[in-house]
Amino acid sequence: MATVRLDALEKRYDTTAAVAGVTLDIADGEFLTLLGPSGCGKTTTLRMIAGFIAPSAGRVWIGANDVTTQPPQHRDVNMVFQDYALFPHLTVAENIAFGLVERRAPRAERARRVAELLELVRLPGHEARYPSELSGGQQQRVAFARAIAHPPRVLLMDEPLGALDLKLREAMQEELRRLQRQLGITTVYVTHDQVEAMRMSDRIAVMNQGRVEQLGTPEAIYERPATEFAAGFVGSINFLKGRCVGHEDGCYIVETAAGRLRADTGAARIAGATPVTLAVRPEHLRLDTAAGADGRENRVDGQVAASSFLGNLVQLVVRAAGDLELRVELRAGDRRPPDGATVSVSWPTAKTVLLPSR
Amino acid sequence: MTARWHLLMWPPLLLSLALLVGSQSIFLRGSFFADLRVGRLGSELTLQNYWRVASDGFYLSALWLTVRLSALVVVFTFVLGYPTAYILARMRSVWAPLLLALLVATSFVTIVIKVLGLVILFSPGGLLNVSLLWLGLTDQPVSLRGTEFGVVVGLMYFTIGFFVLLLYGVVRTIPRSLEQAAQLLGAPRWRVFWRVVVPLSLPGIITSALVVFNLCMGAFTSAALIGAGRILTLPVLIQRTVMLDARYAMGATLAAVLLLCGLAINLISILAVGRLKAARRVVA
Repeated sequence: MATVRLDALEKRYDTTAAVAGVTLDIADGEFLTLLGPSGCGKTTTLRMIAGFIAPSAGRVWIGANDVTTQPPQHRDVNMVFQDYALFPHLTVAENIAFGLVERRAPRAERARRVAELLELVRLPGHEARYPSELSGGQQQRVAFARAIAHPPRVLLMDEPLGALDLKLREAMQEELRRLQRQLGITTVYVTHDQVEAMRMSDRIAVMNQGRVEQLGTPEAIYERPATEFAAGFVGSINFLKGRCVGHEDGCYIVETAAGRLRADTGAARIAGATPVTLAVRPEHLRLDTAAGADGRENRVDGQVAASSFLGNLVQLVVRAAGDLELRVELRAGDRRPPDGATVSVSWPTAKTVLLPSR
Repeated sequence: MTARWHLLMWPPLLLSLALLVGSQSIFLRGSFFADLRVGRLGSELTLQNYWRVASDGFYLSALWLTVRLSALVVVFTFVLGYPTAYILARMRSVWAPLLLALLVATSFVTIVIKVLGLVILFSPGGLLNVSLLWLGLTDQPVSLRGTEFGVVVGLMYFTIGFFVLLLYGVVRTIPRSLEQAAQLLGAPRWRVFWRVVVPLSLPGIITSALVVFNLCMGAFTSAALIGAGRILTLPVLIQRTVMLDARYAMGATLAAVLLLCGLAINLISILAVGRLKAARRVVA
C-alpha cells in the first residue's frame, strides 16, 4: 500500500498533448477515479503510472520512490485491463499464480494463495478451468485475483467493467468496491461512466483535454461543480448564461435572458461585470403557482414544452423568455401540468452554482 | 433460389487434380516396374526398386542428407526469423510496413538470381573473400560451392522471407496487453517472451517450420547450383537419375520415397503438436 503522487505529468505526441500537466496526490488506501470522455487523457495518465508510457515531462512517485524512469515490472503496481488480458493458454490457477512464480514463491504457498484468492472472489473450485470457459464476470474476477495475488502497492483499473452488461456491471461495482475496502489497496480507476465513478470512488478527478477540471468527492463534484465541463459531465444540469452585475446579501446578482437571478457566493470570487454561467440541477427545480418568492429563491416563468414519464420521476422541458430551456425533474406523485401550460419555475439560490464562462 | 457459386469451383479443381494426380500417378506407377535403363521399363510389377533404395547406402545417405539439411535450415531460419518477425510485428514505427514489404519483395525474387548473387559474393575474387583475406581472418578463400553449409545458406535465402511473413501474422494476433500484464506481474522481458509469446505462437511456429521444411525437402535449385554436384540431396539425385541416366523407374522410386518421408514427418509433427496442452488451448 502506498500513496501516489503525480507531479505536473505531461505526455505530448508531436504537437498535441494527450496529458497536459496533471498533478494529483492520491492517499494511502484511497479509491480515486479518473473520469472523463474518451480522449481526455485518463488512460494515458493511468499507463504512465503503470510505466507503459514514458511521460514527456513531470514525475510519478509511488510512496517515497520516484518511479518515473523505472520499467513496469519494478514498480510494484498491478493493473486490471479492459480486455482482462488473461493468458488463454493457462488455467485459472496458473493465471493467478503467474506473478507468484516470477517471485519464486514455493509451490505449496502458491496453491494456498490461489485457493484463498478464489475464495475471496467467490470462484472456489475453478482452478482447472481455462479463461475461455468462463463468463465475462468470472474472467473479470480472475483478472482481479491475479492482480492482487502478490499485493501491489497500487492497483490500476482501466475500464474493467466496460465489457459487461448493465446488471452484472452494477453487481461487480459493488463487489470490486467491497474487495478494495477490505484489502485497503490504493486504487486508481479509469472510467467514462459517471454513475460508476460516483458509486465507487472516494474522490473523482474529472478530466478534459488532458487536464484535471475538478478533483473532489462525488458529493462535492455533483453539488458544487467547478467548471461548466465538470457540471455537464456528471449528472444533468441546466445552464443559464448571463453577466454578473453585482453582489448583495451574500448573493451574486446575474442578469440573464430570463431576468435577474441570484446565486449564493460560495467560494467563487468574481469582480465587475463578467460573463458567467449559472448552473442548477433539474431535481432542485420546482413548479409552483403560489408567488411566494423571497430573496432566497430564483423564479422564471415559461411554458411546458414537453414532458416524459420515467417511472420514478417525470421530466419536463420548460421554455422561458430568450429561448431558454429548463429541464425540470418532478417526482412521479407530483401534479403534472399539461403541455403548453404556463408555469413558474423556482429554485433556491443556495442550489444555484455560479461558474466562470468558458 | 440460392446461387450455385460452388459450381464455379469445379473446373479449376478438376483441372488441377487431373494435372497433379494424372501426371504423378503415371510417373510414380513406373516405380513398380523393373528399371531396364535407357528409359525402358520391365513388364512385370515388382518392388525391387524400393528394395534397392532401402538396401543401398548411397540412396539412404542421400535421403538422410536431405532430411538433415532441411532440419538444419528449419533451425537456423527459426533462430533468425522468429525474433525478426516478433520485432516487426511489435514495431510502432512507420517503417514497419515498409520493412515487411521489402522482405516480401525479396521473397519473390527468383531463387536463381539470389543464388547467383551468393555465388558471386563467395567467389575467390568476390567482395567477401577479398575482405576476409585482407583482414587476415583466413588464408584461403572461403567457398560456399560444394559445401553443405553453402546449401543451407542458399536454402535459407529462399525460406526466411516466408517464415517471417507467416510468423508476423501469428505474433500480430497476440494482444499486447497479455505481455503488459505479464510485465506488471514481475516478469522481465525474456520471461514474458518465454512464458507468454512463445506458447501462444507455438502452433504458428510449428506450421511455419513445416512449411520451411517441406520447401527444403523439395528444393532443387539451391542444392543443384550451390552444391555443384557434390551435395547430392534427393531432388538433385532424382533429376540426375531421370535426366542424365535415363533411369525412369529408379527416379520415380526416389520421388515416391521423398514424398512418403515428407508426408510421414509432417504427420508425426502434427500429431506430436496435437498432444501439447499449450498448443491445444491456443487453437481452441
